[in-house]
Amino acid sequence: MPVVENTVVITNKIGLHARPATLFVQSAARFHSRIQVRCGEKYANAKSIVGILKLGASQGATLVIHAEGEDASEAVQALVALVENKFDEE
Amino acid sequence: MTDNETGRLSDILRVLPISPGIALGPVLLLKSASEPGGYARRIEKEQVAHERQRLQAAIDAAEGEIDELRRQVARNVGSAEAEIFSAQQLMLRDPELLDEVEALMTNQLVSAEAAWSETIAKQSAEMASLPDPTLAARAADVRDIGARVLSHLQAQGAVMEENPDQGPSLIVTYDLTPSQTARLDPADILGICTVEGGPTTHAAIIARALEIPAVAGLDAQMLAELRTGQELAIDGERGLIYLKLDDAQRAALSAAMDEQLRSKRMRDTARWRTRPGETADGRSVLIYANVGDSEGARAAAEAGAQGIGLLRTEFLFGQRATFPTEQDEFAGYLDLFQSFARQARFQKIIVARTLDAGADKPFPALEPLIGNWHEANPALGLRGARIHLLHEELLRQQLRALLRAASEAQIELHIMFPMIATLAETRRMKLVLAEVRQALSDEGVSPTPEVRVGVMIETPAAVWLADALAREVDFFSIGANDLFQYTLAADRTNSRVMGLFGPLEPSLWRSINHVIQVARAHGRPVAVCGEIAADVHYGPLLAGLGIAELSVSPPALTRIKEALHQHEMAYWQAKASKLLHAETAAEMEEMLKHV
Repeated sequence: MPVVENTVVITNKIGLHARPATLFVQSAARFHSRIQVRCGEKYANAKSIVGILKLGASQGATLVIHAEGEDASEAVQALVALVENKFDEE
Repeated sequence: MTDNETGRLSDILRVLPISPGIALGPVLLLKSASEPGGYARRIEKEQVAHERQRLQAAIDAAEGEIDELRRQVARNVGSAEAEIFSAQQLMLRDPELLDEVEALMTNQLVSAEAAWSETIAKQSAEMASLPDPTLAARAADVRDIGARVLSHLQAQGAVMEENPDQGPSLIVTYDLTPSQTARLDPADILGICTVEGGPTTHAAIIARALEIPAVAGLDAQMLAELRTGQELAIDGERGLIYLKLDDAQRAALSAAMDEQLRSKRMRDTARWRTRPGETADGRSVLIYANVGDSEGARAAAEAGAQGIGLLRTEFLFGQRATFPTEQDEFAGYLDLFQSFARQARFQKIIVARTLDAGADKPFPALEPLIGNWHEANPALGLRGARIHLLHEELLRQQLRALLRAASEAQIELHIMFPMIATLAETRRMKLVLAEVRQALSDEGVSPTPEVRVGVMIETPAAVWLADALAREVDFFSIGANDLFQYTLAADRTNSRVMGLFGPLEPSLWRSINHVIQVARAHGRPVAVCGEIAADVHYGPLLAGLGIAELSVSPPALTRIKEALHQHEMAYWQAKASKLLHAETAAEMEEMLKHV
């Protein structure tokens, strides 16, 4: 089973809060893979809005996105792109 | 400090400002959504599957409600505010949260209510403890979905039980969730005063978007002492609660509230000025203005007209003793076109109706040409297109002046002919227009991009010739006032038959519908000018019947845009076609009230 991991830095102003967090989780939910996000010492299930919010990831924070499953590569790619594109809001 | 002053100070509490504005009125106490209810905690092992089903059903019901709220808020408040509910929908499907609830139910054998409540309490507490205040405020969302699912589990009804008939009130409660706030009707709510809550909560964001004054941080002890119906005031800007008011304070706060209302109304008007006419679901209906002079054109542009749908060209010469020259006409039109174009917020489209003299619009300067205006039956006499055809040189001169001015002012000019009763009249006038355009082009006047030609539908003859007319011209404009009087065969200036003129008659509604149906079959747009277009009840229904453009007086522009935006197009359509079955004016009025 493919395992893919990549790192991305949050550059949008408000960080992984509110709307960006919603978009992030909605995007993750489209994939079958198990997706985990690490921010510093904290881990979260990428499909859990509560978990993602509790990461408290602000601008400048580094996220490590780790996926396991058939579509792991697409999932990581999509989530990294979403963060890199500042959630299409800025 | 005297006793009196001490007393007064203790009657004003300093609390957290949440949403600016003054609210003064009777208290309405609401039970808090987060109050724990009585439910069984322990369950037997064989009950687990059943509890799981109950929870699933409650979550599904909650999700449906949130989806509805999201759409309501998107429509009434804004799409940014509606995002809150997208996040709440994700929370309802949150795998971490659901796993925790599931583990509690299966491993510790607790009821769905208990497992759900405990998980929500734990997760919201964790979130509330986060250092970032905006994130910490999301705990309110977790509690909100928590309360919503719990209320379904307990099969409880709405959270707001107590609602005495005391008019607009000041809501006082322990805590308001975003969905409760979104469900509040700003017309019934003067302000909000809570124990819990902070400026970054979603409830606060919605209160600000709805412009409901709000404060938080009321002492819980004080909450227990307040009673529904008692007078209270808050200042959401400074964060003050007035527990007792003297006459001077009451007068000052009332005045501030009135001022607030006035400025809100002005802002609302301003908001509609910059928006195009559309239904709640975004279906476009052009809102144009009826204009008779340069001042009206300026006012129409300022008030957000998407075009001028009826330019009454009589304005220029109405009071003059001698007929104007082409140059006089040109100068007058140019000034009017420029007045509109300078401030137009939308397109610079102007639909000019050629001279519509006669009947209730006498025109002294024409008397030397056509004799005096004293006819036995002026409404059925020499007027509109009939004068054009008698004195074609006047029509030529007017068309030349209009086309030259449009070219100079760089506006999009459309021409329509008034009081059409036959196809022959229409063809004749189109021919004159074509000749005038050709002559101007020979003289080197650059033509405006496209001059569309239309006819006014004002006579039953035109209604029943709609198919032939539709093949001849580009658009129709229904002159509803005249069509009304000719359909009823009643002179609208004759006070002895005024009783026949209500807002609408079934015969008129069916005539309009016929014109729309025929025009649609020929791909021609239909506009309506006249009083009915500006009526906040009937204007949107005309759109529902298929009218593409409503042309109204400048002061009615924002009002009709607002009315149109109240409902989706399907609603207006259903209501408009229902009216086609009415047989009396009274039935129409009745149908208007209940649908």
